[in-house]
Amino acid sequence: MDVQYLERIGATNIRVNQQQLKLGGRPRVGINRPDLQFDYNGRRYYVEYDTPASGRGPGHQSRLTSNDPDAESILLIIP
Amino acid sequence: MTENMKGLLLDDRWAPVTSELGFLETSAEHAARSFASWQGELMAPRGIAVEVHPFAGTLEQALSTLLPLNNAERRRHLFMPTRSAWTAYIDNGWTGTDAASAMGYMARTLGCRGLRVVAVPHSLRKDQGRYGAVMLEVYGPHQTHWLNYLRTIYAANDGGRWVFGQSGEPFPFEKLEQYQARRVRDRFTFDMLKDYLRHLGLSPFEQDFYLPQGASAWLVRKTGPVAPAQQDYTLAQARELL
Repeated sequence: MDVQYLERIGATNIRVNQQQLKLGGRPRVGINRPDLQFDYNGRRYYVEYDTPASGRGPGHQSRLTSNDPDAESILLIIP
Repeated sequence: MTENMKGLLLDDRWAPVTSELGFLETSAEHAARSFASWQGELMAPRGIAVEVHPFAGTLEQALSTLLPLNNAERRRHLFMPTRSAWTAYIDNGWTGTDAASAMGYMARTLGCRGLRVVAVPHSLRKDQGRYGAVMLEVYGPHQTHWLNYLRTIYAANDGGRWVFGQSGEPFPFEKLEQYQARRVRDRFTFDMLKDYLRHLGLSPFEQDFYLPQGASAWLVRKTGPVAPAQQDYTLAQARELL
C-alpha cells in the first residue's frame, strides 16, 4: 500500500484526498484535492491516479503545479 | 465547541508546536532510540547524522530544545516520559507536529499502540486565523480496515466547512449518541477528547502530566546537509500564521 510505504521511508505530512498543502504543512494553497500528497527529503509531492480513458489527469496536474510550482507533481495512469 | 477550547496545554502559548501531539505506549528512551535508528538508516545516504540526547528540565525548557522550527524537513524530535505508560512525541515542524506518520509507523514496528491527538481552536475570520479541529487517531501493531488504524474520530473545519468522521471499532467509553448532534462541530468536542484520553490513561493538556520527577526527555537531532527549501523560524514567527 502506498501510504504504508511512504511512512516507512520517512515521508511526512501525508494526506489522502485532502485539500492541497505546501511543503511543511503550510496552510492550504488550493481547494482541489490531490489523491495523495506528502513531504519527502525536503520536497512536496502530489500524486494523481487516473485511468487511460478519463483524460482529466493532465488538467489535475496543471492545477497542482500552478498552485505550488516548487513541488513535484506525479500522474499515475492505472489501466 | 472548538471556539471555546479552554484548558489547552500551556494555555496554547506553544501553538502550533503543541497543537498536535503523538503518543506511543512504550518508554521514552526506547521510543527515541528506535526512532533514531530508523531515521539514521534513512538519512545516512544524504550525509545526515541522527543523534539522541537526554534532557532534564521543565516542559517549556524541553519544548525549547525543538527550536528553531523548520519548514521543509523536521530536524528535531522530542520524546517525553509522562505520568502514564505513554511517551509523548513532538517535532519541530513550523506548522506543528506531524504525529501520524511517525506514530503510525512506530506502532507497527515497536508492536505497541500509538496516538495522534489534535486540538486546534477555530479562530478563522475571513482569511486570518486557524481552522478548528478535534481529532483522535489510535494506531495498533497490526493491519486493520485502513493501514494499522484501530480508531479514528474527528470534527474539523475542512477549508471552511465542518466535517465529522469516524472509523474502526468504538471504545466502550465513547459517547456515541453525541455523534448525532445537529451541529457538526458538536459531534466530537475538546471535552470529549479529554474524556476519551483520560480513559486511555492520558491527561495530555495538563502540564504536570509530562516529565515526572527525575525522568529525562530524549531529543533526537539531525545534523548535516539541509534541503534547499529549508528555513528556520522562531516560535513567534510560526505563531504569526495563527
